[in-house]
Amino acid sequence: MAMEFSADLYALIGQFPPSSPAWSLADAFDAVTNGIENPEAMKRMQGLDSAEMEPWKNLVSAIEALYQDDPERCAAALEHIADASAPGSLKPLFRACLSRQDSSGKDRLFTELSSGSDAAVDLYRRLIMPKHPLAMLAFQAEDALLRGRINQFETMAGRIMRSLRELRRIDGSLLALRYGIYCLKLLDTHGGGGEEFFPIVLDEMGRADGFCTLGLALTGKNNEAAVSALRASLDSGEGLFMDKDMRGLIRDLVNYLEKGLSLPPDSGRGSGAEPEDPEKQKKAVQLELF
Amino acid sequence: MKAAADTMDTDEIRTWLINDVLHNDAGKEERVMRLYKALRPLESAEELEGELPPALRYIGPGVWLKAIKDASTV
Repeated sequence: MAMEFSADLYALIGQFPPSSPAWSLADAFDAVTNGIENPEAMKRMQGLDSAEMEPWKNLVSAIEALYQDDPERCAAALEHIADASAPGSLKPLFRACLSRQDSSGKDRLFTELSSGSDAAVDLYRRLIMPKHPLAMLAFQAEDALLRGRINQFETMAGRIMRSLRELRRIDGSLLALRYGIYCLKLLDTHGGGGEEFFPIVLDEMGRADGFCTLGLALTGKNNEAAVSALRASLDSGEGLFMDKDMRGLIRDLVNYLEKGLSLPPDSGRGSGAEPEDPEKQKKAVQLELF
Repeated sequence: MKAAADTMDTDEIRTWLINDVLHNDAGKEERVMRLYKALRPLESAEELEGELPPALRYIGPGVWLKAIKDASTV
């Protein structure tokens, strides 16, 4: 016999005795939808052994993972929610929220939403902020720069880079790097120089990704300096952007740029040789650039 | 910043990425696209906004439960 699923969580919970972990599910649901931490309720809820409550348990886990920007855990929880269950009606909403917002991701987002009910679409609209807080911060940072408050711009830009790197639904380290390059360009355009900003980039992005940001900002404009910065990045180990695969490609790029510069080929630096003293390296790159 | 010491610009470098690196090793597609994107800097804060995933706000349990009920009564 097919199981019937109730759409009324509180009516379902009411069928359980007060000592049942089912009641902690209500507390857990309240916590995850309000951004409150309630680890006790979350833990107790997991002890609930009821086929009827299973989709609701997983809904709570999916919502928690969604807010924590953990797409893998969210997708795993969704797998355990039967399509025919009441919480299953919200699956298109979750998939829409998890979609990337690149050019193809936008299409996917609308496809997901169009497969959902009107109620799911309405919930999505209420759930999504009209403007991303990081975008608002970026506008404020730029405004500060235009008003000549360079220190304020640099501090805000650093915060934005750090937050971008933490995003997991998209390639956060790539976007942070592109934003860092954008900021260096802005500073160049508005006479800020970038000397003070470079240490912030290194602090927020780490040495490998920070030097890579600088190197790619200079690529095509000052390839000699770009090669120096990219070598420094390679000598700094792995980063989020500069993972093992990207290190190989950046090494190819350095070799390609060196050919164009008619410099002696990279005879070891950046190719796994003993790294130089980091402070010396940083100063050398800064002197060369500015 | 110092003046450019050479003439190889980013367009030429991106062409090298696609025509040489990717053409010779299709297995590098993902990393080549990452570098290709990295070599195309953001043009504005608006562009950054377009690249960000949806930001979510906390709306409490009632709105979620109502959506589930409404979806189930259709």
